[in-house]
Amino acid sequence: MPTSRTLSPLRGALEVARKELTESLRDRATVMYAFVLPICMYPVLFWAILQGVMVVEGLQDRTETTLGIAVAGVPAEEHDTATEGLIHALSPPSEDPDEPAANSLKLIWAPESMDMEQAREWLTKDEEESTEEAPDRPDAVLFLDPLTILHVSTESSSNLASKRARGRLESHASDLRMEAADLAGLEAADLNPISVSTVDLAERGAQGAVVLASLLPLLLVVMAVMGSFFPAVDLTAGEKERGTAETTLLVPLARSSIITGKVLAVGALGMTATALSLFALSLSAEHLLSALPVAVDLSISIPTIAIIGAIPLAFFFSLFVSASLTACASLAATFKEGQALLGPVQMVFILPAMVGIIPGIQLTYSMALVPVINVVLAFRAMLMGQPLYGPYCVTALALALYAWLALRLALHLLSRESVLLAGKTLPLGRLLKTLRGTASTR
Amino acid sequence: MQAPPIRTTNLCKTFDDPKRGAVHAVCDLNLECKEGEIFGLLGPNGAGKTTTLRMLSTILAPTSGEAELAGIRVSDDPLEVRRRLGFLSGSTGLYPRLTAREILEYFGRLHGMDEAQLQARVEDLLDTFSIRAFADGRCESLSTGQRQRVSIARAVLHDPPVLILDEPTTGLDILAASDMIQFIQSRKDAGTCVLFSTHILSEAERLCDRIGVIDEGRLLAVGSLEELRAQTGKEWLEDVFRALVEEVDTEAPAATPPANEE
Amino acid sequence: MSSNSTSSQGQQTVTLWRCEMRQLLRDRRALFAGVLLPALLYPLLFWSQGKLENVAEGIMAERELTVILALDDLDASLSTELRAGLEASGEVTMENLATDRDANSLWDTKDSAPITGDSQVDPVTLARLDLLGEAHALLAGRRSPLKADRHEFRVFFNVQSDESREAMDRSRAVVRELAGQWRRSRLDALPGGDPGAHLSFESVDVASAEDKSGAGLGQTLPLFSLLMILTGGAFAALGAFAGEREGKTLETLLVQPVPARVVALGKYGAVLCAGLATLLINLISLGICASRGLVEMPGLSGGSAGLPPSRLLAGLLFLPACTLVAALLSLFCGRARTYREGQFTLFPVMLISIVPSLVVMRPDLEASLLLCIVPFAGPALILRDGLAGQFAILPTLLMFASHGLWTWLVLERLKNLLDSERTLSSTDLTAEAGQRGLSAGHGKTWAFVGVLSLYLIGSRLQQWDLAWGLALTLWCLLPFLTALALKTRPTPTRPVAVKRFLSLSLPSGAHALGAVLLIPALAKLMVEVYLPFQSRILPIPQSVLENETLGLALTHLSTPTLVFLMAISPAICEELFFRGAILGSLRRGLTPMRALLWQALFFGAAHASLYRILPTAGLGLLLGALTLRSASLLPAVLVHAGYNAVVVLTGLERLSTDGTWLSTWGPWLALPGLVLLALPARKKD
Repeated sequence: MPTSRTLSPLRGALEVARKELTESLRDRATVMYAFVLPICMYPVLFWAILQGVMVVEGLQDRTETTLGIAVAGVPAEEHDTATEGLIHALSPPSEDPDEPAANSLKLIWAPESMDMEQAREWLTKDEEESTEEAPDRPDAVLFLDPLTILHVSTESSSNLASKRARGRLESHASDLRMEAADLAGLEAADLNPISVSTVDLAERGAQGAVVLASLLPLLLVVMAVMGSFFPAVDLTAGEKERGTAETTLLVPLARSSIITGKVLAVGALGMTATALSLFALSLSAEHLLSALPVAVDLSISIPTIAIIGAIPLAFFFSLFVSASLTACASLAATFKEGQALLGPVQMVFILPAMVGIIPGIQLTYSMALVPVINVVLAFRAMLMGQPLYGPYCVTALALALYAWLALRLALHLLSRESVLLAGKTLPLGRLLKTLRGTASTR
Repeated sequence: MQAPPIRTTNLCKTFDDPKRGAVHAVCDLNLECKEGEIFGLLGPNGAGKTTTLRMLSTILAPTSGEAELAGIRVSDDPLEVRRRLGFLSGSTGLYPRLTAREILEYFGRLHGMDEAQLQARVEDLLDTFSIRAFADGRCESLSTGQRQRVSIARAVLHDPPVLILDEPTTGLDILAASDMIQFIQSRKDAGTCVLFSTHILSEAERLCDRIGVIDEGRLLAVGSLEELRAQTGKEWLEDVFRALVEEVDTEAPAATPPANEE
Repeated sequence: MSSNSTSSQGQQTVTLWRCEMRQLLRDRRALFAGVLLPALLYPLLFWSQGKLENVAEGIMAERELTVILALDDLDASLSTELRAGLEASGEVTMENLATDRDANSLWDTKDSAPITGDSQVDPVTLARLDLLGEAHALLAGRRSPLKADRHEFRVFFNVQSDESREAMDRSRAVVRELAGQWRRSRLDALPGGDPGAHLSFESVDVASAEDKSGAGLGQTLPLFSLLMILTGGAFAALGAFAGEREGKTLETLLVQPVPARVVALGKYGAVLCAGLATLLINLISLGICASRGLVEMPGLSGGSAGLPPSRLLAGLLFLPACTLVAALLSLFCGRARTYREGQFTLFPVMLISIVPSLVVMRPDLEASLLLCIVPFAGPALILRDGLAGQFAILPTLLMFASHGLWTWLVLERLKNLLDSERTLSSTDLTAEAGQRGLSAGHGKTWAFVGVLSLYLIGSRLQQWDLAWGLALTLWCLLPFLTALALKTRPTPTRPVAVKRFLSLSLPSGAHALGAVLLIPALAKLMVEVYLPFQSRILPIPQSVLENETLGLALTHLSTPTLVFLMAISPAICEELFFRGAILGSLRRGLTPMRALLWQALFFGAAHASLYRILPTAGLGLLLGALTLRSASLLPAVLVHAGYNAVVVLTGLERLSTDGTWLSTWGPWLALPGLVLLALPARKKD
């Protein structure tokens, strides 16, 4: 008989984790989910959005809109001289008559004098009611005296026409003021006697980190949960479905070792997926920003303390997530049911993370005890360059504790025979009974 | 004096079923297997065979009573029990995405074998069970017979003194099943104690030194084929089995476990 | 007879559909998780989101803020006004700048130009957080050193603190308010008053409240509907296709005397029903919550802004999108062999359907005829406009027709998928077919890797320096990818030498000459026919045209360099990768036509712009065809180089072809060219 010696529990757990990882990495679906998808999704998504925006802009530029000009009292044409500048500003003559002008705004004069009420009717009347004599209904109406732009906010063409009209009126007004200031011998700045500027006293790049701080912690939590989700189901419910659960239990290792190994494997896969998504996201986000026509200076300098401090937090948190998800998924008998079960459980993690990004909530000692929220807050504080060492340590300890508790829970659940070898997923009532049983045996 | 490889005393297992209340899957089972003996557990589906074997192999914990392997109580030191035990079931339970070699190495490492010894043992097994040709392909791509061979190699990797086989031939084709039977016989020569369950009578007839007939969680009779024949006065095992089951049914309807009271 | 069989097919479909529905309804757990749970969860989510926003606002509003003031240089009245403004803005404690501070140091800047926006202050002199001490912001003001009647203000703050940002916001708002008043008085003081006064306008929205709430609902309803159809439909599709394949019951079904079309339709019907049922249940639950005031949802909240029920009928306009998304779900799940695999397909379907429908977020975007046929974008826009009371018959009809077509195409594909035996058992492939599949897969994978690395790495290189980046991309990245693709190509039973795999042999002279003769026609076709056409239906935005940097960045290069960089290099390196390695793999796995189409598609995608996909894919198709025809890469290289050179040089106005005989007669050279290409090859491939 070959000599066999007892493996230390940790060695055993690592051995199990190694095997689970090998097995998972052989699975096309897992590889797609943990590696290919994170890397490809953001570039493809951002590309599609960028191209979509371009196409929409292009189509928009070529959309022709009409602006009705209405005035009360004087026949509209006689206003021509008085408002020539205005009209010219609204619809500059096209340079090339063959080429359709971009952002065109065609003016339609109201045939007769109109008061505001009539102008309103002109804009809102139905197409069918328009008679031969009445001119076409414009997209928006400019009422002269008092100058008013009438538009229908529920109509896309009307929004576009009024947007163009507004922009042109404003730029015309500013031109006129400049001219007048020039004539009066004033500088442009004299028209703005009070100027205000802001000075950020934080280091360069902190601005970017602050923007990041409002988003990244939540994103990380979501990614970590999503990344662990699939392996958790695969290594528990999936194993039952494949019929290898029994084989796994026959190895001469304590069950705690086996389960720790599984949790470690889930955690490792989850962390990899998170890191990869983050990498792809940063790569393609920079690409996206650089592709925008306006130059955005988003130099982001993440504080070194945040990078160093994030590692233990990330480790404990992913351990906590993977242990909790593994525990929950182990209640399911098939992959399908595991999936259905973990859907709501995911929410339990993601909702508190959303609370954590509310501005104004800070990491206090009591907050540091609330799982998920604490990691979001701690991470945010570090990104903002305001590490709170006391609460940070409490957070890390609390997370480690929760990770350990979740592991215990997974262990307790998985050592229940009814859970371990169940041919079908337990109904809720029975599940509660099992859990109660677990609590009482402790 | 050495303890028998397998011994159970008043072994009981009760499951909670939400619809039917407590179900006695195994009830007061007393069993003893000797070294070098092939013991067959014979019974219809749902008789409690798998539950018994799972209790012996530490996967399930007994509700009451004791199960011992080589004198070690399964509830006291399950790890030591697992170390001395080879377990195999009809559903081969191989990790589909690992190769045969990887599976053997994995279990070897978990059994704490050192690397050199493990490699030698794996090479040896690859030849013994003619696995070498497909040792580096993933298990999901193997045929049932090939899988069964890998599965056997996995079970005997650590050369266990006790083999527990749960319906080992179920789902196998003719050739694979006869390979299995040959393997069980070869183990007897090596002095291993083999406990296996089956509902195929011809297998039991051919292989077993002793047969235990089990139904509804109770062991109805134990003995060699001749002894059972003598006990019931029937020639064919099929008739022996039927006689034993019917005997219980007519004799003591009250003695059946109060499982179906509802 | 045929009508009889059609009706019996209809009956079969209904039978199948009924069976599927029954199975779905019996899976109570999935039903609960897929259909009912969202109905409970979503209102909760919306509700808690609203609550959270309130809480967040409350927290900030209640914060007590401290602002240091350094306003000694100002008139007393001005500084009093500012203090009063700050006082009114909330809980603000004001302190004066400590006397030991030198107020002048606050105005040190690198450049002395007047600051208008956010300043670039020398970070060394001012990056001192201790300036603030315990306070949250510092507001400094002085008379401008340039002119006594101007004033400058600076707000110092720390972006890393929530309170500091809030204090900055408030201080700035107070100063801005004041600045506005002063500006107005200055404008009025101009000779003749404010010249822009007559241009100040009022904006009046004449849309009815009903229409407005309809439009508001229209911005959220498309996304919500798609999400619901996806949730409900997914569980049905997974069960009906992937689950059934896994449970081997699909095999049973396919051996029945039922056409695959019927199977596909019946199952699709069940998926659609499950999706629609989920949508309906969730809409009702949302509607109830909205009418109780639990959730804020424009249009559903009842009261004066509520929509009349007749308006809600516009929801029917979204049906084409629902049918399409259900069909896509069925198709994607139909491809999966197991339930697990099916799970992965859900995410892509979600992206494909949700992203285009985001166009509803732009209120000034019209449901033009082109947008109407874009899957999901068209129905979403039309639904939004419909809810707002706008209904245009032509776009709607076009949308229904096009989406009907898309759905039909998807279902046709689904039918083929169910029909093919290869999906029933993946292991029964012959060795040769397996080899072909491997080869095709290899080609597609590497093409995808190539496109992705060109997009991510290549474009970064070119951003750093256009010319060098281009050179690096072409001469390092692409050859590297080519080598990797070659290295990893599946080894067939009869190995193919690299030279043959990449079609590196010399072509017959006739083929090479024929290819070269095509160049003038090709360039003319592209520049004078295709591009003007494309700019009409797919115009490039004005802002992009004005920002055109490509031409500018390259004009400093000499013509030979330009030809080398823009014509010869791409011709050699891109051809080696796309027509060499990729087409080499693809044509050993697919039919020639499919191989050509795939590589052309990837070639088009590699140019990473929607505006260039069609022209480059067309070019890729031609180049691929030339390669296959002549069994050599050389004709493709020649055409690619010649075409690029002509297009780039005319684009930069280095080459004028107007009036020369080449521009008039050149295109006709294509005719003898085609004849030469039609000649049989010298040696057989």
